[in-house]
Amino acid sequence: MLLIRDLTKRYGDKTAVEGLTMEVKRGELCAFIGHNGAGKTTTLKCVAGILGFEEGGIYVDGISVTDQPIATKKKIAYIPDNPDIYDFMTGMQYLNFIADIFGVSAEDRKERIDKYAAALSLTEDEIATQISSYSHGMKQKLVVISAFLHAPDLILLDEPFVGLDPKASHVLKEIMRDFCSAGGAILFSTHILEVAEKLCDKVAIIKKGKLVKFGSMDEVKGDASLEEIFLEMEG
Amino acid sequence: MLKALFKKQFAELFAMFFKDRRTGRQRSKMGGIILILVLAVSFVGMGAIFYTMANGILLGISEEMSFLYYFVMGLIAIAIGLLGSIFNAYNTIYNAKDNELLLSMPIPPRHIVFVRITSVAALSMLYEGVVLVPAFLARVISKPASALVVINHLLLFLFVTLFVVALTLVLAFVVAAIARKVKRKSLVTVVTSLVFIVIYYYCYFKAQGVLATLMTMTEVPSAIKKGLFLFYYMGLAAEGDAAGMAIFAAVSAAAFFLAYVVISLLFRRFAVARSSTAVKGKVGEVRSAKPQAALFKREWKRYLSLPIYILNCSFGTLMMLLAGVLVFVKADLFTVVLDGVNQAFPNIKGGVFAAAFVYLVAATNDLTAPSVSLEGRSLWLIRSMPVSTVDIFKAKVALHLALTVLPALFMGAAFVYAFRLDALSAVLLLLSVPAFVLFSATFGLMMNILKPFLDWKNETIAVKSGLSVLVSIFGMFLFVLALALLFLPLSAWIADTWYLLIMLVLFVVGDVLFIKWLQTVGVRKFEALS
Repeated sequence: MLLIRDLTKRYGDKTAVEGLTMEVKRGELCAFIGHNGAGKTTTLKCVAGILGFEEGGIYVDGISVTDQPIATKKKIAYIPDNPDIYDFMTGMQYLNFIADIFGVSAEDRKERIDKYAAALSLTEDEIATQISSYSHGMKQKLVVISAFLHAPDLILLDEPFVGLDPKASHVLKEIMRDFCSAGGAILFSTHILEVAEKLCDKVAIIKKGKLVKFGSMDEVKGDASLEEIFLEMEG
Repeated sequence: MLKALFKKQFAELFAMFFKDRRTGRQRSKMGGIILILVLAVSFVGMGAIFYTMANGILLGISEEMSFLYYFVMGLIAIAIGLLGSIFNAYNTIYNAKDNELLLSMPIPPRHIVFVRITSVAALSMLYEGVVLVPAFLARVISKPASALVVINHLLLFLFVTLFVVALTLVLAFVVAAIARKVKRKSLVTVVTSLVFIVIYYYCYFKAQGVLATLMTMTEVPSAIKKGLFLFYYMGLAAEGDAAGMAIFAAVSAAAFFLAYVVISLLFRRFAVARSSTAVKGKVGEVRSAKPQAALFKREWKRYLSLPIYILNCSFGTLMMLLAGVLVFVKADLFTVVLDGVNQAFPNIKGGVFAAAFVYLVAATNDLTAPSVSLEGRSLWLIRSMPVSTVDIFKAKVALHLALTVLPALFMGAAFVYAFRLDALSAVLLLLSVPAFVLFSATFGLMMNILKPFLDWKNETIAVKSGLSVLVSIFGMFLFVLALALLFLPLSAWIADTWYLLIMLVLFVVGDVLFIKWLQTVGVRKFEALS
């Protein structure tokens, strides 16, 4: 579903990501972990088509992100670490906007909004409210709903559990798992190693822009815990 | 406790001198000094205008009507103080982001209100000072002034400020109360601002006539003594009348105290209401639209949500509609101006003259110039959507066209009627209007792609500051002026219709070039933004 091959991204003289290669297949849930500034967000943004990159290639379902950005974006949903969304819209206007852009039919959007809003305990009243009055958690819930609106094939999430209450976190994990079971693929960054360990099939550890470990959870951590492996690598 | 509150409030008030609002970083010492100097020069410049005006009044009034001097200058100071302070009071008192934080601390609300009012008063004093300081100087320099006159002038500065703050508090309270009730808070700000602008200009034009009449009188009209007694006493006080001073001081202080007590009592309800009474739309409203329409709706919603965007970037829409009506109703006025021009340049028929008018007013709309900057930190969103960058540009330009083309055509049509233009000139003029609007829209967008500012904390900075806004507005003004002025000498050789055709072709070529740039370089530069 997602193939990143020899990705190198630079900001001026600084190399943020260097020669990164990894693959996430359909049905796989892959955690992306690393210290602050390791290059996780940069990689996710490159995949989402938000950032360009100097070398390498990124393919979503075999389609190049560089050559056909619109086609790949149609298959992706991206949730950033900080949900800076349009304060000037209500929650419903925002969801309608996203659905319009992705061409989701009125019936489908209604059904999906109802489903995910109910799961994440975002009430109709809250959805009808101006986003400017939302808490960080409510914005995060809204962005999560919007990500599932167009039934994407690949979801990229940057620190998705930050700001969510325990119940919403639990529900999101279930939704993520169900999504992958239904054939979707997820790549998400997190600092919560326990969640990554329990939830994911695969893990990618990045350090100073380079991928240092990548594989199935069992391959990477063996008998140790993910936390032990991570701390060992961090030195 | 009060000391800490004052320190915080005044640090906020004077932050502009020490911090760059665009970057949030500390200004260099030199930067701060330059800014203070620029402001000082502006205030001195405005003060000089009022000084001249004050001298004119002093020369024109008789001894019996001496109260009139401060009656006029004081009222001007009150009007300027009110205009400058009302939205500051609304934002400082009811809309401050730290209201809840302060209310959560062991601080009596009346202390919070008092400190906030002091900040409003300080700024208000600055505005009034632009009028009252020159008024004081003019008075003591041009006529002998007793000690009481000097003391009363100084006291009046204080009590006029108290009076203005009392009025400001009431008006800001009304704005806050209305804003609580209506769905679109931005509408309240826009309408209130427009009402103030209309009142200001109405009073400005009316006042000149009234003042001229009053200056010819030798006896104080009873309408002033009874109906405007407070300002009558204010005028008397400035001439050393102790009773007048006492009355004005007592009324101003009482008004201020009353407003302070009422606002203190209501503060908690209004200050907290800002976050707890969120505006709601219809529940469960699911509407679908095509992606291009959705992008336009996004721009439209952003526009409607930002009063500063509406007032700064589309004021020309209102101006064109008003100007169109004026041209229709007072066609003679414009034909007289054209006749005047014809005395020096007899070949000018009116087509180019009308076109230049329309272009100039249309150029005051600069909706595309801050449109990229306004994406701000949510730029990631549109960049992650499956829409082409060209479609994003189209939506931005479409908003500009939607708000500018029709009013500009209306104004153009009014000129066609007023100048009785021939069919060919009329067609060329009306064709050149949308071509020019597209020209200015694409130019503004180009400038903003070249000079975007995305890391703002307040939309005001994106809309008002920035090189793209400055270059778009003044660039278009200068361009239109150059086109119009160039025609004056050329009119001896080139007919009006030919010049209209040349301008039309120029705009169309410009449109094509700018669009081409947007589709190529513009797309690349926009996609490289982060």
